[in-house]
Amino acid sequence: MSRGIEPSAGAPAARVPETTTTAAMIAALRVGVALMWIQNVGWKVPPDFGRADDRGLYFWAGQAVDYPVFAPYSAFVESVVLPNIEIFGWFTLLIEGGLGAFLLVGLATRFWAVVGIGQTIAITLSVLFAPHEWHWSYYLMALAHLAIFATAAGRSYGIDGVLRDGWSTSTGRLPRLLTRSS
Amino acid sequence: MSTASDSMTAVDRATTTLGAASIAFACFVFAASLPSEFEFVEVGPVGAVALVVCGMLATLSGLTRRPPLRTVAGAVLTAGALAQLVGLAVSVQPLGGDASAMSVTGGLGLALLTLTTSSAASLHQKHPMKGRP
Repeated sequence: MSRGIEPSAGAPAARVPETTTTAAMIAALRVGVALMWIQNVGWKVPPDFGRADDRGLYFWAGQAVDYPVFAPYSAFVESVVLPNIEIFGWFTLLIEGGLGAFLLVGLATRFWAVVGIGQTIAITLSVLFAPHEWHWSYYLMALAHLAIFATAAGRSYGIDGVLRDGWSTSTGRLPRLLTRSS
Repeated sequence: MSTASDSMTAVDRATTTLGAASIAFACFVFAASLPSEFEFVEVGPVGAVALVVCGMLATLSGLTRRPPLRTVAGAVLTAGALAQLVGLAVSVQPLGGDASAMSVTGGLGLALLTLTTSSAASLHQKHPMKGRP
């Protein structure tokens, strides 16, 4: 009994074999996406996140109100997020800083890929219809995180790949959590 | 036996790589002259020195198989990231630069600390009778 689909004459192979080159490409995707978050957490500046000058995060969050993509989300931003930008700004800073940090080293990568998809959706709902925005930027961001999740990219030259075997044989709660999130 | 040895080798390799990455990220202290498209990290001189010193410690740890050096490097980088995070609230950045420096130092520091704690726990798990009479 065969354990998989055997390639027959003339038929393409069922899967691309995991080689050093493909692993390096997956790692490059992960690190590249991490650098995107790292660079962009830099302009989230506390304490008012741009409220005083209508710039920075306050300005860009406000695009959800000026150019609504999804009416309930716009209403939420207008009535909850913008008046409390000092709180939501810190959430954004911590989430994007965490995305950069954990995707960079490939630790709990699948969990952070899901977080990245969520953050991408929030950004997309804010700025998709804003002037001069290229809508495919946001679609590609979501797809890149989807690829990171699908390939469990932390197992390719990441901390997940080094430690996952140890985590999976451990009985502790944290190792089990890390096994599931890697 | 061989499994534990292989595991240690992988951890040492990862430590060395993280050390090299830390040193590489310190080069962004000169990135202000680059176009903003390539200025991925904004870090000041203090942050760059911390990244170089901790990077050298981590690299040395991986090459000479001395886990305590890795722990020190990880702890210093993580503490630096926390200091930067707290400093952002009061507009004082101990590492210089902005929140991107926090993200990089935090990631590298947590990775080094995770390597230390997980590899120690893994070895303990694989040798449950070690040290017992």
